[in-house]
Amino acid sequence: MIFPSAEFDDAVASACHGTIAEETLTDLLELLRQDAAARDEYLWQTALHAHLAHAAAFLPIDLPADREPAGEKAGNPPLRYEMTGRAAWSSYALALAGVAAVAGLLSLVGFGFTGLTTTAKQPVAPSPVIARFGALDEVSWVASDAHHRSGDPIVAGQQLELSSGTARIDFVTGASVSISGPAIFEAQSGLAGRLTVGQVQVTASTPESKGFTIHTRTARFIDLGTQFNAEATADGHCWVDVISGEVLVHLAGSPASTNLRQGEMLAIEPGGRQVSVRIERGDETPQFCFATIEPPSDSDYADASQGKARTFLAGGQLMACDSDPEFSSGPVARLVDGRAQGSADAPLESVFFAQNVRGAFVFDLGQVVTIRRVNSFSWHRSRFVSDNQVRATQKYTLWGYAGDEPPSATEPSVSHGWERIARVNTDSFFDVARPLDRPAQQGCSIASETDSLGRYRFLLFEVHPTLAAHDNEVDHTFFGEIDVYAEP
Amino acid sequence: MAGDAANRDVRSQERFLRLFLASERELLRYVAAVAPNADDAREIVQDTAVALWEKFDQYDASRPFTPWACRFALNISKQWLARQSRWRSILRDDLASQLVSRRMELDADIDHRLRHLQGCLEKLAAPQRQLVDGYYSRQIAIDRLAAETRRSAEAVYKALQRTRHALQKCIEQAVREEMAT
Repeated sequence: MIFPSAEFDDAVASACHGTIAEETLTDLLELLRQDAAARDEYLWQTALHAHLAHAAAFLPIDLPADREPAGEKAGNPPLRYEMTGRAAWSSYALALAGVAAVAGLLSLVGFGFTGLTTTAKQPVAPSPVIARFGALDEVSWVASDAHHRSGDPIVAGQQLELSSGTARIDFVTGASVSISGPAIFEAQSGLAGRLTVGQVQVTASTPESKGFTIHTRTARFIDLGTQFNAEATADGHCWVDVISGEVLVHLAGSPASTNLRQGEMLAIEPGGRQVSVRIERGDETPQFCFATIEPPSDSDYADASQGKARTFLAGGQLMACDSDPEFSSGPVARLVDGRAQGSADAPLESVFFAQNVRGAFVFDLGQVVTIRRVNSFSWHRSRFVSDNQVRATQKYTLWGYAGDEPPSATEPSVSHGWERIARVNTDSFFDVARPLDRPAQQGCSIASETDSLGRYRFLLFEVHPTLAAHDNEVDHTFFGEIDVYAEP
Repeated sequence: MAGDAANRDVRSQERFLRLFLASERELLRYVAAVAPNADDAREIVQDTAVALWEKFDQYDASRPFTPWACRFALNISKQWLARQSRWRSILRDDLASQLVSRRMELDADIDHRLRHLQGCLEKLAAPQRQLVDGYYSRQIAIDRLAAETRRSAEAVYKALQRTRHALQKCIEQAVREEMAT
């Protein structure tokens, strides 16, 4: 390859599009190593592409209209679309104005979040009133110069930043959104809002409010005539749980959608893998039946009967009760024996760490394999204390590593080379306020909306104690089985 | 005590989010030098966000956030590239670092050129603007764009390349005219 040439331009373009052939890429990189002018031209062409592409990253992943068009699958834009370049660029400018507003706010409050304001993006034309403040319960706002009262209007594009308390927003369509601080929420239209961080509860019970959509950085949740909770955190992790009715979940950048029904919950990890975590309550029988998650299996890749993987402890200590061995944990191998517990309080058939320490176990799959999904199962109801089901909670972070020697598991992190696949906290999902809110038997399935969770040799389960703020019990999960579905 | 800790965590999240959002675009541009495909760049920047949040307690608030974040982005990019069989060779002879470093040197010049982008977008012919809007703003999949315009995916990619080329020429012309006045 030489520079300048049509071949060079074609190679850079296909690199931008993600379609470059391996041989062409090798030639291009070799040219970039040798030719400074080619490097500069490559950087200019990729900068232009990136600028165009990432302008879109700051826009809501919206349909052109406020609501999903009838008869169209949500998330797929209509086949016929009108030119909206100017509008899109205006939106981009608005989005940048929003960022600038945040920056301005920073300089105003000097990182201190006292006081009271809402930040409105600079509109190019008067924005319509799309909602009004409803009940405001002990609300304090991020900045100090806002004095909102119930009934005050909210215009399209207005950003609400709560430090604490709960603010209800009543949209003109009949939808209502209760925002719990700390939160940053933008009221986008009568049928849409963007949750940057924080928690909301959405109720859309009128025909006009059907299709109300909450956008987060990594997904959008479309209300199909129902009530649901959604939460988003600083790094893009978000989750939704359906209180009643149905919610359609779309992951950013994916045409696929997932339908959630009453009682179902889904967490979405940030990143290109589009990892989702589904958590369900079991039927509290040794068969471990769930609504959609398959029961514990002896045919998964990591199962002991397959002879392909080994499991070992990489941190913490399993509970060992010398005075009464019946209350000790079973060995780590129990996790891959193809079955979970036979009863609700079976320590020896469970794997659990000693109290109040973080533990870790590793699955070495013997070679780098494509991980399709990971299922974990727990069951606990104390035979002594009827409302103690705390060991059913699953609270862990799943990490992956593709090399031959895994990095330290003491404090796994991205910077050490581990890739974080998913975070699980079933108490958050089940919104546990009282001990008996927590299902005694729980299943968790980690999967991807793309083809796989990734290719790894090692899976690290970093297990956290099940301390909950509202009860003082600190215990570790009774894991009954972990199934890893994978293929070479 | 638990409440104080929770409040600190919440404030820390808010502070991180604001700093990260303000830097995100810069990070995407920085990463694009070694991962030009937009989806790849977004994945790397998202992984960078996770790493930054993990280490946020080590961030020195007296220093600007973006350069600190860019150092993480470079490391995460290299880890990501090492996992891609196709792109792995960009790490040989430290080409990835060279590209990123040169990209930073060209930053002011590229920013200057990109100030003319809006005007040049407006000069595009309607079908080209429609293509830019569909592919970049609406992020419509290439197969769908191809079906809509009754062309092959390859033809749509080629049309996108030509459109960018037209924008590039227009911008360079605008810069020349600006310098002449």
